[in-house]
Amino acid sequence: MKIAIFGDSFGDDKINWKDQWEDVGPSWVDYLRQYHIIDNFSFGGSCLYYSKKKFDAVNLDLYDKIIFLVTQSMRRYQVVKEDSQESEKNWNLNTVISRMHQYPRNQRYLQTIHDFFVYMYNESDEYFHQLIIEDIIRKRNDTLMIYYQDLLKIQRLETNYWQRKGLDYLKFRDARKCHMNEENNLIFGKLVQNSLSETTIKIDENVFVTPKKEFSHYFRP
Amino acid sequence: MKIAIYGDSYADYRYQPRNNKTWMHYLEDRLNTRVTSFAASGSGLYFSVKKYLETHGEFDKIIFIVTFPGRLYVSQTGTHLIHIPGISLANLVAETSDNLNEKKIFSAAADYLLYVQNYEEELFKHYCMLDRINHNSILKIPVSLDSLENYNGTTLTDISHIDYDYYQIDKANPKKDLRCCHMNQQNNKIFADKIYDWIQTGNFDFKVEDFKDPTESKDEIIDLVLYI
Repeated sequence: MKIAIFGDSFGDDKINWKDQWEDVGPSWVDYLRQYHIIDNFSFGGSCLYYSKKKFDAVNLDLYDKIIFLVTQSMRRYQVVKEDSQESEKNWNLNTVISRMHQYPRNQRYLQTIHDFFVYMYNESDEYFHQLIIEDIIRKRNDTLMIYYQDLLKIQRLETNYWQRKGLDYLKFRDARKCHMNEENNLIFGKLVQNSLSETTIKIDENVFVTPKKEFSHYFRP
Repeated sequence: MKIAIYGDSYADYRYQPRNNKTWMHYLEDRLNTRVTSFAASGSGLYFSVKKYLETHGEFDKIIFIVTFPGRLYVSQTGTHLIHIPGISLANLVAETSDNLNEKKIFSAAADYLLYVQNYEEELFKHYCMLDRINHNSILKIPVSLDSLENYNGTTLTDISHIDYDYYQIDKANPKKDLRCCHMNQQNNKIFADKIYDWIQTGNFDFKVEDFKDPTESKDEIIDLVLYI
């Protein structure tokens, strides 16, 4: 089967792992790669509009199955123009706050995004998010839709295990592929494999497991 | 027959400078019945779509004035203003409001419009929303060429600009418009006649050539001192 995957970091198994952390085991996407030809268009940190742009740009007829990871609505797409270069950015409130300290040069852009989330984000953005979801389903009604609320259940099962405050994690890089430990990547991969004839996936967090290794294996400086 | 109208200032029933009639008042005269306008000046498409989804079921005919893409909607507490048509108004409120919350909201909006808003995304949102506006008897009328996807005909802005061109008024420097629905009186009436024809026959013949130059003086068209 030829499969296209769209989404954010829950599907992006390449962002942090190029030439490093070879001790981290395979992702759920790798599990599917054993059986299928996979084109993975997921991009860490991306908003739904960004993924939908990718989805619209691809010839969907080339694929037997589409998997779409629906990220949270409170993210924003931005085309940044600097030094006559254009780049695409995806933001959420946390990434903006952390980048504000790292990149004072981009302070104005970042402050603007920050203020948007604090003062402007509202029901119209939620409505638009819903319209994108409907549009994806309308365009390919056999798409397997996986919602971030479900993926968060797995992520939280793991992060809660360490009993650390949320902001603590910002000090580390998440070495887990797709924000899941190796065991959960495998469990999730099997779940997706068994759901390829479906359009939704039911995630029961009780079948997933807490981390087996040291904290430093999953979260690295 | 129950008729509903949705849209922005091109369908603002209440704005009647010098007690002039809007095209909706002329339409009421011809139909001999009241129409219901949910339109609001400065509003974006989201506002109209929201109103439409809440109310359209009660009406037999819908006239939907499709505004410019990219206008912002505010639902935060701390301000009674809910429409941000563009950066001029956002800056104006941010600079002049005594309300701290309002200042913050409109300052954030002004920066957002300047640094973040992406027109391609706005168009995408706009057409996604318009796709959801389906009624068995609806007339969608564009304010600008981008208001409707792949549209290349007459727009309401074209009708508005007849008066600007006639009096050589700078279109890029918005001032207080003293016309009902941004059209001179004759054109409000002509527009009402065209809507009336659509209601009666289902045909909407909308060409800029059918509209007239103003008979009003320049200072009845626009206040060149006051901003919107």
